[in-house]
Amino acid sequence: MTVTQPLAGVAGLVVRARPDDLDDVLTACATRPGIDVHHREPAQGRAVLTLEVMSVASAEDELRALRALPGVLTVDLVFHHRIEEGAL
Amino acid sequence: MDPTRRRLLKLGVAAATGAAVGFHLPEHLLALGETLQANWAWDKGVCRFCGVGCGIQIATEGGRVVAVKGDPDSPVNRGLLCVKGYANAQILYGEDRLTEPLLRMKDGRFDKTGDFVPVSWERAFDEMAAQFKRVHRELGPTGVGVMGSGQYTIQEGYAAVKLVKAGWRSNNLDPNARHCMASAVAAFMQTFGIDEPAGCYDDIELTDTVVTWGANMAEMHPMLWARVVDRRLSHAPMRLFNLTTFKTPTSNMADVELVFTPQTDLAIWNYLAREILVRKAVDQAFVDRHCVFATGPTDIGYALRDTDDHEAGQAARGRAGQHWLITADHFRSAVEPYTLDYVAALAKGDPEESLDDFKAKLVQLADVYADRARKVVSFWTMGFNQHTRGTWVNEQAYMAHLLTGKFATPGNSAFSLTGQPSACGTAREVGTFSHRLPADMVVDNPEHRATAEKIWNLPAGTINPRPGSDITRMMRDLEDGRVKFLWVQVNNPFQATANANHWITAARRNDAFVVVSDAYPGISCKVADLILPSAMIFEKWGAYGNSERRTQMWRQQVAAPGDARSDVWQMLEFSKRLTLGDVWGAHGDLPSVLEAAAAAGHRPETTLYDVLYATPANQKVAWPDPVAGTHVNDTVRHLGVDWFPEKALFEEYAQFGRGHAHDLAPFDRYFEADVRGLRWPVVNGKETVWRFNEAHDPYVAKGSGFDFYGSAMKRLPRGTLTAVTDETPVPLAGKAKIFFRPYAAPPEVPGGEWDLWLSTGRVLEHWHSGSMTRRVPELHKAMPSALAYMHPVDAEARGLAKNDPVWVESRRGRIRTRVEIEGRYQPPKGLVYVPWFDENVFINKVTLDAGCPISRQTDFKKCAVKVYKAEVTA
Repeated sequence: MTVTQPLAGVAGLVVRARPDDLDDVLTACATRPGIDVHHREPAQGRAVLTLEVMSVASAEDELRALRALPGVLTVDLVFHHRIEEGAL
Repeated sequence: MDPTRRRLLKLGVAAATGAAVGFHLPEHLLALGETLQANWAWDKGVCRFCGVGCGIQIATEGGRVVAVKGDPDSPVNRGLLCVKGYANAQILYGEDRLTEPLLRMKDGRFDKTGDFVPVSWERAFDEMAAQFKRVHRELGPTGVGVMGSGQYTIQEGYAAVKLVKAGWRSNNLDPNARHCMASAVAAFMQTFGIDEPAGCYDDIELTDTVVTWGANMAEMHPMLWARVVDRRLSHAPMRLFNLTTFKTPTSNMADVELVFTPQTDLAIWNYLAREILVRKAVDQAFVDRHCVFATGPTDIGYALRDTDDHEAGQAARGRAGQHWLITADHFRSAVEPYTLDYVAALAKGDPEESLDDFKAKLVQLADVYADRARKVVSFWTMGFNQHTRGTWVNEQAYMAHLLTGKFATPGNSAFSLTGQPSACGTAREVGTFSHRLPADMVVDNPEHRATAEKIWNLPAGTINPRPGSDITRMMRDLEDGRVKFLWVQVNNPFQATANANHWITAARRNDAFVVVSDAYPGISCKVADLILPSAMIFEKWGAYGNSERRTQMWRQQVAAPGDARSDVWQMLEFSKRLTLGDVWGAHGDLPSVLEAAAAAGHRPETTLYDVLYATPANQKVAWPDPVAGTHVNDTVRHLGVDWFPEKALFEEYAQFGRGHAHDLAPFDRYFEADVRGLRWPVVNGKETVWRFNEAHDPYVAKGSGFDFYGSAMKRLPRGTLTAVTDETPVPLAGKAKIFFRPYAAPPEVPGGEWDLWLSTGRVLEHWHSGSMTRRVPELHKAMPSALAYMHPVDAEARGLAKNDPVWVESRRGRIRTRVEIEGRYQPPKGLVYVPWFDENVFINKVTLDAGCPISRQTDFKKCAVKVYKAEVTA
């Protein structure tokens, strides 16, 4: 789900779930603000998400919210692209 | 932002993320990731935060860090990062970075009561040198000191050791790591005769059991915890035990959790030892061949001031580290009283749990340690190390692992997790403690001093044989006027030291001069007289050593803002202001070495810079260096030299350990493309994964199987459980010591008016005092201020509801915060938990500065407080 505020960065996350739960988990993730679901590996029970990091928003609030979703085992940060304020 | 561009950006990040952790992505997606990064330069580095030592990759473009990713080739974190990893880029760009020296001034002159005024580096160093010389003339070497850090790069720590120990002839250099893992150090030295762990992180994937003791790994060491969780989910026999004084996020994954009363971990270990003996689970061949039994005095005090009431009657407080050999029968009789009934009644920490349930869990815990077929890793952190018997409880962990032979083999380990990125690599290995020299050597050993003086090319007798003050004692020295010149580096000690009201007042004494080098203004800056702006991690060259002996290096990536400069530059530049005549004369019973220096060609007006740093050997280490590629070195640029200080200092330092079981690889090796740090000792180019084990460690004597070759404290008298009976020293080459250590109550326990335990600690998003992570808005928002976590029944009994304002008060001070009765931390009845990252909830005004008398590490986990409603402010 895309939001329209200016970006401070984009984080790339990996979410893990038991393979049977993965689809449900990703459906739930996709409804979160600033989250997009990109690549999934069903057999491994994992997928790549991006998180739009707002200038004043909390990446950690969102990471915690994702971790609290039913079926989520882990959510880890892999990549963080920092965008200079005003650059985009 | 243009939606198409935003979409492409996200696709690029997603592709780069997937590629980093091994997703199989089609070519066109991979190409998107590559397009995003087309103008970025990537280089390897290491995370600046905790002691895990996660590998990261840093991307720069146009002189700015534009991205950070988990290093997929790092064996530590395998491409993943916790939220603090994200902070590595953000912390460089906080709005309140310090960018110029600030001196308290009035009417154009330094004035203790003045306001901070921006000054040049020249002016800053002029004042600093004048103040240093004033104090050094009045008090001698013990009147000056440096509070250093477990976040020092190896080179910074080494420069500080040389400056203080060789230059100033003072041993008043002590790091915040004293608060972090000094108890682990003391226990390593007493048990094995050498510092740092036998095992490593590889044990996680090889074990059947992880037991966490006083360690909230899920939050404090997230990437290791991710590996533990992976193992739990993929290896059927794997079980997790969590021993804690209150519920934390680590509790969520535990198969068995024991909530125990603070300090009773000492009794639980002895119950385990008793069970190991009763169940005949001792690995007798291992113990007979490789171990001895030992104990020491029990009335050793609490590392408080001599005049403190708690120290009365503590007859052995001056010889806390003394120990002697006992027999296996002594050991058996010593642990005999620690029966299940006794220990369960003493240790059960949750009043709402039944005694039978707690007993059943103790038995389950004994089952895993006593099961010969089961591999066990014990992890601990601050719950053990910040403990008035911190050294003892570390030694007890080795006791159980040595008795069962579950040690120094793949999958079996007793492991102290460190909290800072180079507590091991710098504070311990370089030796930035008040009693230490590099490579585990100590200042009160004449042979060790001679070794250091030889490598440093100093006159014999230069190094002061008396250990200096540890960091807490240095605060007390400041209060007493025994230290009047203090330089704080990479550290926020005025927030981080217990019983802080005293030290803040002490810093403002009229005759004290406090210099704080920092990147951001924290509490320590507020009490300083001079603030020096420091470069941060990727604004300089550096190296860190993590918890598993892994040394990792990085190149400078970007320039520091404004006039901020590296700590190496600050020390080298300041050393130009001090001459041998200033510091190498006689002071008290410390004789002058100026004549000997003259014989070596040094005149009294020769500077410390020339003698310590710009030596002929170091000047041969040329800059530019091929290892740099296109990377610059602002330390070199600002010094205006053509040599490479960070490389020269590292290679000089490495001389201490090579051939002495602390071998580091050559500097350039760490920068090779396929290297992700190396675990020392690095012998013949090969790292050592398990120490003391003949199959893995080249220092082990051939044919011995195991060899605890550390040489410190390896000649002991014999005695009984209470006293030495035969002073004749027994040589213990190759042996480890199995210590008996009794349960001992802490000095301050809840009772009467002060009816609750207070424990302090960290939270995931904020790292230590929060002086860096508090600058990252995203992290700040997640945990805006430290709360007092309480049991709902305790809150209700005090008329408190969630979010009510409260005072948390001890005999020493009080702080105002708000109550939390649910969420991430769930104390049992009788305990309140307050994190310490928030300078507005300054919990160290409340804590007690008691500590372990052997390690001199403070116990931040236990004191008695009351909690009551605060008035509501508008």
